[in-house]
Amino acid sequence: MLDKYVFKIVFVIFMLISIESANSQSAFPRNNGDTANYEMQIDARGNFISGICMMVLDEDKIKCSIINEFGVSIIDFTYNTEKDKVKLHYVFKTLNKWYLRRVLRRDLKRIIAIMRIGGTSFVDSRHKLNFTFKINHDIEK
Amino acid sequence: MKKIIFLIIFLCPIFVCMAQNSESQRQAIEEISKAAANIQTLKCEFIQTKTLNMLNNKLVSEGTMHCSQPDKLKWEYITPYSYTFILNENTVLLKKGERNNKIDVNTNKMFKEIARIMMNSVLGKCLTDKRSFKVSVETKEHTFLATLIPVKREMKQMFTKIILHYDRLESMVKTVELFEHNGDNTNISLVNIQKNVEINSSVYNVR
Repeated sequence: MLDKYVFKIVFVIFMLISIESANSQSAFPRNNGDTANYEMQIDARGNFISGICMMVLDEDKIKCSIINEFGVSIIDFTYNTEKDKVKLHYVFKTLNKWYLRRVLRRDLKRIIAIMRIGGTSFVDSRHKLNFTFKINHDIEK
Repeated sequence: MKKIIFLIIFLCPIFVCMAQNSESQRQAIEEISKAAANIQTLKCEFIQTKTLNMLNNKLVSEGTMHCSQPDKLKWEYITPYSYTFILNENTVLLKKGERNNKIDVNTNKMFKEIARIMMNSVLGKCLTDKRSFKVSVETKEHTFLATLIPVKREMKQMFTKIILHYDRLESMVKTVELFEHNGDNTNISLVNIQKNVEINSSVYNVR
């Protein structure tokens, strides 16, 4: 019985240490004005599209722009850290459909949550989309 | 009667000025088109500066460009990320790390437009493409500033306007500015330009 409790406590401590360690390794913006830049790739049914995701923490909002390598804007959005809410400000015309905006809002929220703990991928199994993101320290102001 | 004379005196200089403008515009387009026709191949480096309005930030990327008329283009980003775009006739190859993506431009209009705009902008061929752009040209001392307003749907979706900076001394487009709907813009400057040098066909290999 005691062993079971000890195991649970050790497990919880281990999880907390893991999360803290991931947080400290992650370059995700945590203080006001912090920036982070990721290379993103989306795989869908054997094809891929890629781009750059640039973000900055502005008080309680993470402002984020996703552009392709040629510099064409794909999505501009903000993530409210307090309300845990994504607001799309700009979506490239061909993606700017109400049903896609709904998928985007949901997926972006999950991606932000994964980036926050230092994760590098997210799978949207319903729409067969595989997102991978890699921090790029060479991208600077 | 006085009013009519006043109107004629007032309107005449405007019409003369408009005629002169359209004439100088026609001459500028002719000069740029002539220079473009003489370019068979082009090799250069580029500096691309993307201004992100929402983030109040800039992203500077650099790379190399190879181009052979009429339909071969290699646009390669070297820093801060690596990414290669190759157009060879009707095929586009995208390379990112170990991944390759081959696209038939006839089935993907967006890539067709991207390839066309990149190639035709640096060569200055956009100016005569009346089906795609509404063009106006401003003449500066050694530069023509050509403003292109997209007319075609695919192009309109991407850009509100494109400005080409044509250097009359070098007979070349040196800078391309692309303006987007969200207020962002991208400035592409070409440096170390080599015209009509031999470019090995393997550069455009899409296999």
